[in-house]
Amino acid sequence: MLTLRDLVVSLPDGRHGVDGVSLALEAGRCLVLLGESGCGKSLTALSLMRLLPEGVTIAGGQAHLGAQDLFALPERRMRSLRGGRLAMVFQEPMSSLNPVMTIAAQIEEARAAHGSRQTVAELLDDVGLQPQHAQSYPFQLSGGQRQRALIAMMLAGEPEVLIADEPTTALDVTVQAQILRLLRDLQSRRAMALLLITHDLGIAREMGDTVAVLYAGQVVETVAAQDLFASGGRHPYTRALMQVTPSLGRRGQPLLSLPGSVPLAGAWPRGCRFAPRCSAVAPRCREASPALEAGVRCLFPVGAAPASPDPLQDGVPSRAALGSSPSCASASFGAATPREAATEAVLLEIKNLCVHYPLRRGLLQRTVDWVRAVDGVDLRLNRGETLALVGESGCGKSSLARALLRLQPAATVRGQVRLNGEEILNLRGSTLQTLRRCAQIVFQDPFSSLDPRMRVGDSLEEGLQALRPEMDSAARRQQIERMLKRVGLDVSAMPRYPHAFSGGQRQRLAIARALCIEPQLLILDEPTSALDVSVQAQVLALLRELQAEHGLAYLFITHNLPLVGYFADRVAVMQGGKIVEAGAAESVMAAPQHPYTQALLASAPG
Amino acid sequence: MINIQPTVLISDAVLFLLLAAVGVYIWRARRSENARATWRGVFASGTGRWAAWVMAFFVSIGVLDSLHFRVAVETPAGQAQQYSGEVLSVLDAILTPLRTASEKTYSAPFATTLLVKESVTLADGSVARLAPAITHIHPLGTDKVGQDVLYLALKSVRTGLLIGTLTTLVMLPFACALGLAAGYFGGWVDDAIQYLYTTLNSIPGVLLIAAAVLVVDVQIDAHAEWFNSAAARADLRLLALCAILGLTGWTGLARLLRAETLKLRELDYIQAARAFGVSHGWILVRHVLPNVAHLIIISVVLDFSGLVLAEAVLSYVGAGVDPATPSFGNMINAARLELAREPVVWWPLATAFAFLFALVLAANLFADAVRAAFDPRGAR
Amino acid sequence: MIAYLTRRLLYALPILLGVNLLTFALFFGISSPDDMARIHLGGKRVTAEAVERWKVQHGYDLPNFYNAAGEGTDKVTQTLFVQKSLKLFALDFGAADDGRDIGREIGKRMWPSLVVALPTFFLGLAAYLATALFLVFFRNTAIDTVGVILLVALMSISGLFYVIGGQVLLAKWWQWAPISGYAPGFSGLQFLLLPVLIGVVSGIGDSSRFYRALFLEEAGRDYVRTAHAKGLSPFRILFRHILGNAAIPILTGVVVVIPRLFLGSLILESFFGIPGLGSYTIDAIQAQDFAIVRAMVFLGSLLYIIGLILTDLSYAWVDPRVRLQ
Repeated sequence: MLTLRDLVVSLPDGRHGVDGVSLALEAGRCLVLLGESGCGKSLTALSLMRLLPEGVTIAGGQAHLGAQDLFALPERRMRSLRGGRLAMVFQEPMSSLNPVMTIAAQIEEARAAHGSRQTVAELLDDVGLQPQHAQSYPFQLSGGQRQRALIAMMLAGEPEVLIADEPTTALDVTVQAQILRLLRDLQSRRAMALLLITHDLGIAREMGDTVAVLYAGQVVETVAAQDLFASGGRHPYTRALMQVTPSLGRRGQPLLSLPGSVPLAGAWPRGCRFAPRCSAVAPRCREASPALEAGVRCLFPVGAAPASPDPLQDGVPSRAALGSSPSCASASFGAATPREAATEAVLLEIKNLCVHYPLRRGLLQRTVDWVRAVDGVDLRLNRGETLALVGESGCGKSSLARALLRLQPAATVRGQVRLNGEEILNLRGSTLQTLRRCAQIVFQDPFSSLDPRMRVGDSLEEGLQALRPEMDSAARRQQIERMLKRVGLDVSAMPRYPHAFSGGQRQRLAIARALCIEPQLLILDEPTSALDVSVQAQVLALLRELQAEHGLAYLFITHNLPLVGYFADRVAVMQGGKIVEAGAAESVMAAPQHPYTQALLASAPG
Repeated sequence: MINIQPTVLISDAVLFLLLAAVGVYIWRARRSENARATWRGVFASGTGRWAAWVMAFFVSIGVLDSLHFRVAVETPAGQAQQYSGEVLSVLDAILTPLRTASEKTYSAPFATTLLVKESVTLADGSVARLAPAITHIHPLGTDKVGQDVLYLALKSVRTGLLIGTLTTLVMLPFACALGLAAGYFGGWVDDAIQYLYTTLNSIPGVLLIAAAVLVVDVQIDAHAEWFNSAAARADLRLLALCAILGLTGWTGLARLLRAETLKLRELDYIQAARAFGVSHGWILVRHVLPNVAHLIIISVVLDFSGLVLAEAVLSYVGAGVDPATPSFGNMINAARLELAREPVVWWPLATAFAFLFALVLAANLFADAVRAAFDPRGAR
Repeated sequence: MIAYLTRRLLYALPILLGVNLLTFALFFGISSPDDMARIHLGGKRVTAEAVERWKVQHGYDLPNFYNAAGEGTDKVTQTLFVQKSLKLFALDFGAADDGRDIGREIGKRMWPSLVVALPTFFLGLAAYLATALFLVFFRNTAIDTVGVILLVALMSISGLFYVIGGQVLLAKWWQWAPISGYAPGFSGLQFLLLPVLIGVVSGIGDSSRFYRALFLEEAGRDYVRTAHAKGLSPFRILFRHILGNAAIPILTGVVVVIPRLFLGSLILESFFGIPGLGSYTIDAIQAQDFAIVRAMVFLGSLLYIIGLILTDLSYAWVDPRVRLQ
């Protein structure tokens, strides 16, 4: 139905963002394009629509939809295909809809452009929206509803091929499950071909008939989804991806840790592009570029006669194979075993914590109501323990973290928080500084957590200057060097600016910055959710080791349940500002009691 | 050897202070890889480079015109050396042929005679109406009092530059301090600062400036004893104008900085600094200010051309520089009557137009290049 | 909405009071009525009696804030602040230095100002938006590049040159229209042609460039990509989607100045001899008539605040996010 051959996309600086991608879609089937950030998935999709950003051009290849040559069509004819036979759904439902037009008007526009047979009401019904949503503006709808509205617009032209570019990445897990179900229903009902782009193996497993794995601008493996999840794939990268994903089943085992990170678009290594990170690399791999043969782009694919014994075969990599990467964890930590009674001392105790924001209305701006972001939370965290705080966006987990660190305006916070037995909510001045020495935070987005205009060394020194006044500059430097080494970087990082580091490296820097002042409690606010899966494993391994060495307690805030199952000792599930269920991670994950926890678990893809 | 006494007007001192500050910035920027790369971006485009050269030409004229001195006059032996009351600049010295070559009144460019005829008694005793010959050739003609127009235009450059730069100097501290404070602290600090700038904004700009200039004029008139020379008096009036423009002109940038700080405040690295117990003042200086610096630089270069143009309008309204100060505004103002003459005296206006256009166009193109290089979103 | 409006109106009061205090400080604090008198009586050799006489004539013979000589409420009301500053709130502007009532003068002169300013404003807005849309439609082509260079050149020319050049070229040489003057009614239309045309042309560089930048910013947003993916024509995307969203920032800049159109344009009116508030103001500045300047400052602020409130209302009109929340 839709075939793409040898697509090359060239970036404004002349480098290639996509380098020879071929795909084939069939009616009524779903092809999943799986890959990490920067490997060229979105560029491939936008090329098919001929909607590449300014300056980015199609430099080679052919695409055919039926008999039509997509890249040779004049723009006017291409326009009638877009939203007609070929439609696309985007990642950000918040910004992908026109904010000042009603949903009905936006659907109507698409209908008018393609002479749709379905009415607006029918289209809304098809995507599971109510008739009254027609007259709504996008801001009045939730994220999931917006994504449904966008899909309705794209269905107006009765597409034969629907491209969905990370359609659920910006959504909560429960909503994600609904949207995926909707896409699958529509695909089978309308016998559409679906090209689903994702970075999430779980989604690929759930949705895909065929999976094409993309790495560094190339398809490295094309395989039937069933075979992939049965055999683990034949390309070392595919196999690695399958093993770096944390889950309850892998609890207590170290994850495979891929060294390094995904190369930047266009800055690709010679020879096999995966060679620098590959554990089974042979000298030839660095010279010869493998071709895609029998669905695999590898000189020594698994399943053929391997040139060297495959270290990934049994799931646990050998140390020798992975080299001396710092992220390669030693297997000696007993993560999943409950802590010994001796370390069972309470570090943090939260009683009836509330964060309420006033809602002001009327002439005198009187407070008419409160937004109860956190509403009577009780939690306890022991020394050296990992407590996962799980919830969807808006459940109050970040407000809670900010309140614990006293970053929240004091007027909005009530309740009791004891750290080391001392009440912290009313600390001021130097006693507040003592709290800051005990509790630190690592944020979600490694790109905004370091000041882009400050040298890394200065960023790391800042906390020491403020909180460890007893240290002189030599002692501070020594401490920074020690921590940089500990997270797998070295002194050469100090005079550089953050932009010189990858996402994973920045997250290590952020961890080092927090560790410099030697806290007892580290709040981890979604520390890996902005990272590629192959990098996430490195950071998790590092966190594990640090916990074992320093007896750190982690408050691990996340929305990712498999991660909780893998990483946490205890878990607290938060909904609407309240804790709805708490307990040992294993038992909660295995036998959830509260309906919300059950829904969350059922929604997790994979 | 001519005996001279260097004389520093207040505006000269401020200008050189400003140049020193720019020098320090360049020295620091050269050491920072980021800043070097950004500035290379400014000069990478052809228009940016050309605009910079034209600006450099005008600035060097302005600087030469700011090195002032007084010439010694004949002093009877035994007395302390006396100096002329007339303050000259290095530019004046360079342009001495133009400066001293004055005629009686108007003459067209490259004309050999004055524009107006005079009654001349000829050798045979008869009286004839003749246009008298001029003493020098003037490439751009002469004005009403016979002064060379090219010289006048070159002298006007300094006035325009000073207004464009000194105003910024006055405006920046207010815009930065108030904009950052409003955005970072929020609450009543924000309310108070917003009230202040809404109030200032609500007054029509020209009127507020005119009112302030009127008041300053009254003060200058009432205190003639403050000034030892006409140059010092005109200089103070110019400085006062810059101060007034600066005090009334900080609101735009302050609003911009407030909005940006409001966004920065929520960013993780600011929150991280707060979690480390870093003080607010330190956060503002180390984290916020460097991250809004590009906005400040863009706004300073963008404002420059607007201020140079504003001088012309204000001088026309009667709220500009001293009528005796050479400036484009005063040249244009005089041109109104000249155009009504017969034959039309067009050259002072044409000269003012050409110089002002070149200066402002260069400033605008330079500002565009700076914005393109500094704006992270990639300016259009 | 009513509560919101009431609050905005109440918020306007402290701002007007602030404007009042500021002008009072300028005219009665930094300089004083004695200074004014001396300027008007001319030169340094003015006797103290003459100054006193002038102050009595013009009602400046009062203390600033507190009149110890007065009785009862007079202690407060018989002061310069109340008489000269607070009375502005009642739109009581007092008399100019030549004795004429400023309020009546304003009432008479605002119409000629409006007759010139309104068409200039609306024709200008249409012309600037059209220019900007034209350039955005042809973005990334030579038309756009040349157009932008032209706009930068146009905005580098001082407004005074547009007026002088226009007068010389269109009126003096080509004789399209009278060089200056004003007459009410239809017979006055010929006088409007030149100032309106020049007013529109002099703003084209700045405004069109600004609108173009706004449109380009909108053109880069995600919903525009969605519109393309729906297969809409570029024309429809430009007018329905980009213009519709850019209307919001454009309105902030535009609506706020509408009330101020009453004040007219200083430059245009004085060059074209239009008896409006602009030329009234410029004459007052040149004659150093502080009473008129004070009145115009207050009026300008009042109109600005009305403009701010209108801006809020227009937001609610174009932006559903404001209207429905």
